[in-house]
Amino acid sequence: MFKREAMLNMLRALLVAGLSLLLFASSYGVSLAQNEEDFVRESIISKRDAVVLSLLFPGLGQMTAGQKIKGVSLFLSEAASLVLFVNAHENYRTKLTTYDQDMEEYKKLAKEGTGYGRGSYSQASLIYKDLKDQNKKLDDLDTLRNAAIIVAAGVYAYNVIDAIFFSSSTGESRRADKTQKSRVQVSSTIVDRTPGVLLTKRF
Amino acid sequence: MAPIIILAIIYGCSKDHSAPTFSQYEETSEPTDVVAAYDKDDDSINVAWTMEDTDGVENYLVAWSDSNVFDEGKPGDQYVKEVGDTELKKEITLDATDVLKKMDLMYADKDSFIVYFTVSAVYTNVEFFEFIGPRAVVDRNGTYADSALILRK
Repeated sequence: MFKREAMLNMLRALLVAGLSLLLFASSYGVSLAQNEEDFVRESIISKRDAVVLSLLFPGLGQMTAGQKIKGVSLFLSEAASLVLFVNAHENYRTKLTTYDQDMEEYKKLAKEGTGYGRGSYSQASLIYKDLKDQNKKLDDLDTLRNAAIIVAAGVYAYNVIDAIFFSSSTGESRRADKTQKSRVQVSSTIVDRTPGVLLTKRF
Repeated sequence: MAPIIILAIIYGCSKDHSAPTFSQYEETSEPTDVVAAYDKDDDSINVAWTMEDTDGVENYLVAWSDSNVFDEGKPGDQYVKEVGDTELKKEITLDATDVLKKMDLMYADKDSFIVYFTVSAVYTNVEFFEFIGPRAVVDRNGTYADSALILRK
């Protein structure tokens, strides 16, 4: 019993740590991509890289391939559903601990009574009503976390399909056109012993 | 990302709770026909009741309150069978002063009180140990019909 509990706690910690790491890595990746855009330094991303980024976290591939609105929408949808899932799951676990303790007391009531004395029908009725309320809340949280993870899985699946079959071709061609027309090269230079930045654009 | 989602589905979506049941407690029943009467000469209250199915019943608990919504009033109670008793009686005679004392009601300026009585069977069998069953004569609002009017003057 103890080992199972410890195992579940370890799994839970791993899950939360993994999700946190992914969220952090993804948000860092997005900010990096935006910074690069600020420098007007475009980079061509291959379809394979876009798919790999999309596999890492939904929306990253689309964002780097030029489909910013779709990418950001996918990213935010996935992040929101994962946050909702983790939140509902943690709430569920917390409420479940209380529910299990109350259930244990309820089962003992008939034979052992309570700390205040013998068990009674009126106490049992009150505890039963409270347990039913708690059970309903647990059901709601269970439904919520299931819905959240289903949405997360759906968004992820759509994102992967989109990255493999639809996203990269249009995004890449658009980017390639844009690159051909307005590619700006950034390089450092020294003029009269003064360091500077040289911007070169081919027309 | 995929392993994380799969892990979340496997671990996160297992329902670990089941609904509570009340069936165990529904096996207990309450006494019927509770009658409480005040005897002014003895300053005592006689409470009597009937109970058809006494299987598992080892005692009765007579409880009283000064409110007809029982739990909202000042309560008092007494077990019918005391240590050394062999017979399980279905009536009890209570001293009116003791009844009022247990409710902390000793108003000198009051010459009459209404006290509401109920009786519960106390079960001891395979499933229960000294478990106080449901109260007699209770309706949906928690009110009790059986009362005794105590006239002190």
